[in-house]
Amino acid sequence: MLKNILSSLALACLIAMPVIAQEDEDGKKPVFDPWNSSMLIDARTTLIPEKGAFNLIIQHRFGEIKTYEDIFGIYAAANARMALNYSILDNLMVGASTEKNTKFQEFYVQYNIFNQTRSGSFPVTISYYGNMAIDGRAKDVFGEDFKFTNRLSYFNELIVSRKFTDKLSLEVAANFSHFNKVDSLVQNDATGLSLAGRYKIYGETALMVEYHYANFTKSRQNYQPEPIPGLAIGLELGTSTHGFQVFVSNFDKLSPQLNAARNQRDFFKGKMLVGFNITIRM
Amino acid sequence: MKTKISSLLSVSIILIGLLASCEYEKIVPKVVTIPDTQVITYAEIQAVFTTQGCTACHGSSGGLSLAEDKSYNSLISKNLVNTEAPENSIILTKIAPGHYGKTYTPEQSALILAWIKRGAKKD
Repeated sequence: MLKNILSSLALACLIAMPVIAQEDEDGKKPVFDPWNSSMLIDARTTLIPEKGAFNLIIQHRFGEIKTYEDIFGIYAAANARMALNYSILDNLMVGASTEKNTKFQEFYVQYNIFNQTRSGSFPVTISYYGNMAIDGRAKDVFGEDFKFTNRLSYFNELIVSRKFTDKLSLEVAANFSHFNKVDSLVQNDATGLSLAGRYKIYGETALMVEYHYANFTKSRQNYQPEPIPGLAIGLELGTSTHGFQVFVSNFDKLSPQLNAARNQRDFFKGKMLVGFNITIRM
Repeated sequence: MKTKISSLLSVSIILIGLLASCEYEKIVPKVVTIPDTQVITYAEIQAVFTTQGCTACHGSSGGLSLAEDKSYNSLISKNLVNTEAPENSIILTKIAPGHYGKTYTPEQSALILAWIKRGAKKD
């Protein structure tokens, strides 16, 4: 009898050990789906799809909301960007994109330095995002003594995000933009701070809000206006293969350094536009 | 751990590569002078707006119209032309060379400035 009990206990321990180990292993795993997509509206999230995944992101911005004559910007001149992301590792993603209006060709990398864990042993996800963009406009734009490196600009961002509950995720990000060659009245560098959040209101439908403060280095010269902060509010609809976001924003550009350092549209003066992002997971 | 180190190394190499091509340069606008003897018509000013693609957004609808039949009245009624301080005219400074984004060429900018200095007349 005792032998049977001991055998049963030993067997139970043997079965339970991997389960306990699995629970411990699960505890160290990153939190499940802190965001629906690697983009929120104009902000980058800390979501990096699993190793080997491709994501196609289509971003579209209609023209400024003005009158009913152009159906609140739908008939007006629009902007669009196509981006393709590839996850080399579970925490390392590279990508490339092209933007219509500014002819910016971006090449970027995102690396999750630390992930928020399911057990709570690490409370936030810390991610680095960096890009190099090639300004594809005619070389005359860059003035005399043109060389290829005049076209280059950079955007670096450190993002800290936390999934508070299954419904609520928030993030804060600090960024630094650099343009190799700029017009004579503009600074080469700009700094900024972003706040963004998502709250699920029903199933995978969520409200999104983000705010981008621009330029802490207020030493521009002459009449070049300062960049204006960005504000956006929208709705996100997620499925297993797609993420769809529709929103109102005052950013009309799609490259992060242009929005951070060059935005001249003021949300509170009605300089808003309707836009949408579609993420296709492959 | 090994994966983490190799990821950090990859990102570091990319970062160093990116930073290595950082430069601090300015686009210095060319200074163009319009001779006093040169006749400037409003058709030439209108051609600047058309060539620059301003009319694509500032067409017949919306606030500012730069369409051929409306642009002059629009410039005057919206005080975009300042004949007392021509250099400060909004139609000139808004997209003057030196600004980011769409800009006049130095030749176009000089032409508009000379036109305003001469009274910003339609004919």
